[in-house]
Amino acid sequence: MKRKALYPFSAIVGQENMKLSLILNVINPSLGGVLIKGEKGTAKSTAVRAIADLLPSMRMVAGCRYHCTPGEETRMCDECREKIQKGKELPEENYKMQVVELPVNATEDRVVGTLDIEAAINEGKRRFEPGILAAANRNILYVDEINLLDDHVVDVLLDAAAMGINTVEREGISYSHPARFVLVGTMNPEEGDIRPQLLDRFALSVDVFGENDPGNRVEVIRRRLDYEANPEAFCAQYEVAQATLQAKILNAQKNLPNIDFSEELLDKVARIAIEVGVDGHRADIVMIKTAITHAAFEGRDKVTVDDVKIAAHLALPHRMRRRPFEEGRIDWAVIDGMLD
Amino acid sequence: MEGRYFSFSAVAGLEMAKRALLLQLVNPACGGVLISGPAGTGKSLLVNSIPSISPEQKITRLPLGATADMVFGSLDVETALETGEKRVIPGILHRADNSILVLDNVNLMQKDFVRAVCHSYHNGFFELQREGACYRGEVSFSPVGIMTPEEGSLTSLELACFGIFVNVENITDVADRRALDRQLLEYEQDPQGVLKRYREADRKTAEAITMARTRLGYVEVPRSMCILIANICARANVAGNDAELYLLESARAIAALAGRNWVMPQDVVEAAQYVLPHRMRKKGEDQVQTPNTNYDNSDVSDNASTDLPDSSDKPVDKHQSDSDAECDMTDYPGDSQSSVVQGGDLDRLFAALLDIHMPHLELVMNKRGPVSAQGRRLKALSNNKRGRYVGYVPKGDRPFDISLDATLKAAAPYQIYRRTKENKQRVVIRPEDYQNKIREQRAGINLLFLVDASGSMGAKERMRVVKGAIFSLLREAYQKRDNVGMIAFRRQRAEVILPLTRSVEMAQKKLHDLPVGGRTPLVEGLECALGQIVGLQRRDGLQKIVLFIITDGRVNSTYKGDDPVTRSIEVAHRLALTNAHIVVVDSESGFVRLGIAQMLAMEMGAAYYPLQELTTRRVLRLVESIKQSIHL
Repeated sequence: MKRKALYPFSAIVGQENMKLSLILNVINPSLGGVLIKGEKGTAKSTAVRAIADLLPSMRMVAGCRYHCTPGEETRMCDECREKIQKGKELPEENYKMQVVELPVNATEDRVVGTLDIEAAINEGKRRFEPGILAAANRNILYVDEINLLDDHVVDVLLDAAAMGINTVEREGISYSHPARFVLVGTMNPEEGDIRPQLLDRFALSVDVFGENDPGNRVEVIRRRLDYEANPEAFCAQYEVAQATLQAKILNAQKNLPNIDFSEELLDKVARIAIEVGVDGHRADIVMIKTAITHAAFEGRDKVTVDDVKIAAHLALPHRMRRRPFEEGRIDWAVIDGMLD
Repeated sequence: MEGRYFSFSAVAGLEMAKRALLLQLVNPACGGVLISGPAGTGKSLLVNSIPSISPEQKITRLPLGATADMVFGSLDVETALETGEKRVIPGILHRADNSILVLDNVNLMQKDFVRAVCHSYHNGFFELQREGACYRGEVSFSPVGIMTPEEGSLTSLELACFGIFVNVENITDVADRRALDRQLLEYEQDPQGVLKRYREADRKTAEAITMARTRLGYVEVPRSMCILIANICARANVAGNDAELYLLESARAIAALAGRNWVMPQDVVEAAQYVLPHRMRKKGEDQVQTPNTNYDNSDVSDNASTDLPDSSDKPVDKHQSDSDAECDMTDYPGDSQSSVVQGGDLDRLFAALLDIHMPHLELVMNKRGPVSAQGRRLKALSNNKRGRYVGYVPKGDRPFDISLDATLKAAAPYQIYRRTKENKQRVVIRPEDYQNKIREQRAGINLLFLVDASGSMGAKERMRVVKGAIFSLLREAYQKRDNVGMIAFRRQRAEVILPLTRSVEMAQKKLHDLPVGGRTPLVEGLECALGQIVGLQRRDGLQKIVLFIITDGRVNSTYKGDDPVTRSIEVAHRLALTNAHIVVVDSESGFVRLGIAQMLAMEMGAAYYPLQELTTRRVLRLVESIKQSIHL
C-alpha cells in the first residue's frame, strides 16, 4: 500500500506559536521539546507529523536499533561502539526523522524496553528488546495527553530525558542505550495537571486555540477538504513553500554555532529569570538557546531584543510560580519593559 | 553505554555540593551524599560529571524503573536452562561494589530499595535470599542521592542514612546568574572548547583527590577534636552515634585535602555544615517540621497529635545494636555543654545550620515504626494489570498477569529433565512455574475539595478550614497514599488551586495566599470538578475519588445568561454519573435559607452535611468517616 502523502506543514492555517516552537525544536533538537496546551482538534498531531516529514534525511549507522549518528562515538550505543573498537567499518544509510508516539496507556515495559520473549522461550537467552524510548532516539517523542500518563511511566521518562540515556534494570536485563529525543507533549489542562518535574523538562510551552476568525475557519475547512480529495495534488501546491522552509531550517542549523549574543542581552536574561522567580537554570538555558535558534531561523547572525522577547514568551509561562486566581500569565509589561 | 560527561570544574554555583562530593571521593567512609534542591540547578549534571575528576571511579546507577530482582540479584536463567545449575546474577547492590551508586530522584524511589542501599552501605555486605538462591557478598560503595523535594520527600530515617547533606538554592544574584548564563551560552555553541578550558582545573582536582586519598590513612584525630565532635553532636541533639563518625570522617577528608596529617577545629566546624543539618533537632522538637501556615493550630492539633509520632519516638537506625540505640541524647544536656566549647565559632556554626533550608519530611505514621515493605506491597498489589512491576509471586489461583522472566526462572532448573528428544531447544513451562507480577500502585484515595471562595459570608473561614484540613491530610498522605487537591471558585471562574498531590511542599507553595470575595460561580466550580474527575477516570477507571463540595449554595453569578441553579443541576447530574463519591458540606446559615446546596446534594445522590460551624477538626472527621466507608 502506498502511503498517503502527509499534510504539508506550510499548509497549516494559523497556530503560529505552535508552528514556531516546532520549527525551533527541529532546528536545534537539544532545545528540549515543547508542551502544547489546548483543546482537541487544533491540528496538534498534524503539525508534529508534518514537521518531521518536512526535514530531509539524516545519516545513521545502517541497521542500528537506535539509529546512531555515524562519527559521534560518545553518543553511540554499545553495539556500534564495540564494532568501532574492533576496527570494523560502520555502514551508513539515510534515515528520515520519525514521530514516535507514546500512547497514554502504554505500559512501562513497552516504554523502556524489556526481555525479548521470543529469544527467552526459544533459545533460553536473555536478550533486550528495545522499547519506545529506543525508537525515539534522534526522533520526536510525541505524547498525546501527557498529563494523563501513569506516574511510573513519567518517572522513566524523566530519567531518560535528564540523561539522554535509557538505563534499563528489569526482568533480568541490565542495559543502557542512547535516548535523545525531542519531547512533544499535548495536554488539555482541564483534565488535570502535569507533574511539576515533567513540566520543567519541557523547554517551551504554547497555548493553542481553535481558530476564531470565521475567514480562517473557512480556510481550515477548505484546505482539509482539498487535501482529503487529492493529497498528492494538494501537496504539490505547497512544494515551493515547503522547499523554502526546509532551506531556511537547514541554513539555520548550519549557522547555529555562529550567532552572537551580547553581554547586555545576557544580563537581561539573567534579570528576567530572577524577576520571574523560576526554579533552577533551565529557564535561562532555554531562553538563550531559543533566542539563538530564532535568530538563526531569521537568518541573522546576532541575537536581538525581539529574539529574547519571543524566547521569553515561549519559555517562561509554564515555569512561573503562580498564585491562585492570578492570571496564569506573567506580567508581560514588566518583562517586556525589562527588555526595552 | 556511558555517554559523554560534563566537566566537574565547569559546573557553576554548586560549591557546597562540589565540596561534599570531593569529601566523599576522598573518604568513602563519609557516609554518602544527598543533594536536595529545586529542579534544574545542575544537581544531576554535577554528579554525572564525576568521571572528569576521578576517571578510575566506577559509577553505578539505580534507575527509577528498576525491578526488585535487578536491585537485589536473581537467578541466572541461561545457566539454569543449560545446566540446571543455580547461579546468581548479582543485582545492582552487588554490582555497585567499589563504585559511586547514583540514586537520582531518590525521593521517588521505592522505599525498600532506598533502605536496602542504606543497609548494604552500613553493613558492608549484602545478603541475597531469593528464589532458593542464597548469596552473601561484601560490598563497599558510596551512595549519592539527588532529590527535588517538590514531588515528595524522604522520611527522617532515610534522610539520616546519608552521611552528608547539601541543600542547593536558586541563584538570585544578577552578576552570578549572568556569569552562569554566559557559560551556558558558550557551552551551547562550542561544547568542546568549554570542556577543554576546564580540563586543566579538572586535572588538578583529580590530582588533589589522589593525593588526599593517599594521605587519608595518616590523618590523625587528636583526642581534643574527638571531644569537640562529641560536643557539637550533643548540642545538635542528633539521634544515635552515626553523626559523630561521619563528622570525624568528613573532618579527616577535609584535613587530607588541605594536605595536613592532623584534624583541626576548623575542619570539624566545616564538616559539621555537611553532616549535621539533616540530623539536627532542636530540644523537645520532634523530627517534624511544621509548615509555616496560618491555619488555626489549636483546631487541628488535638486531632493531629493522635496521629503524629510522639516526640519520644526518635528514629533509631536499624543497623545499630540495641545498646547504641539506648544511648539517647538526653544524656547530653546540650545547653550546659555548649558553654564548654569555644562559644563564638560554634554559635556561628549553629546559626548557619539553622539557616539551611530543609525539605519537608515525609512522616511514618505508624507508631510501631515503618510497615514491612512486603506487607505494603502486597496491599498495593493491583489486579488491573497497571502499576509499576516490582516483583512476582507464584500465580496460584490468581488471574493471569504473567511475569515472564520470573516464570522462566522458576522453570529453568527443571529443563534438563523436561526436555525431550524432539524438543531440544525450547523451554518447557508447566503451570506450576507460572509467576504473576506484583505491581505497585498508588492505591490511595483522591480527595478533591471544591470550595466556595466567593464573597458570601464566611468564605475566609471556609478557606482557612479547608487549608488546615488539606495540610493535615497531606501529612498522613505518605502512608495512606492519598492524593489531596483543591478547586476554588470565585468571581467569574473556578480554578484548580492545588492539583491532586501528596506533596506538602507543593501545597505550601500553592496554598500560600488564597484570595476570597466576589460572586459565586457555582456552575463553573462544578464543571471544573467534573473535568478533573473525568480526567482521573480516563487515566485509571478504578481510581477512588471523593469530591467534597463546601459551599453555602448561594449561587449568584449567572452562567452565560442562563439561570445558574438550573445549570448547576445539569452539571450535578453529570457528576452523579461519574464513580466519584460526592459529599456536600453546606455552610449556609442565617434565618432565610435557600437550601440550594441541599437540593444539589439530592440531585447528585450525594451525602449531605449541614455544618454551620465549620472547623478543621470536623472536616477531618468527616473525611475519615467517608474514607472508612469507601474502604469497606
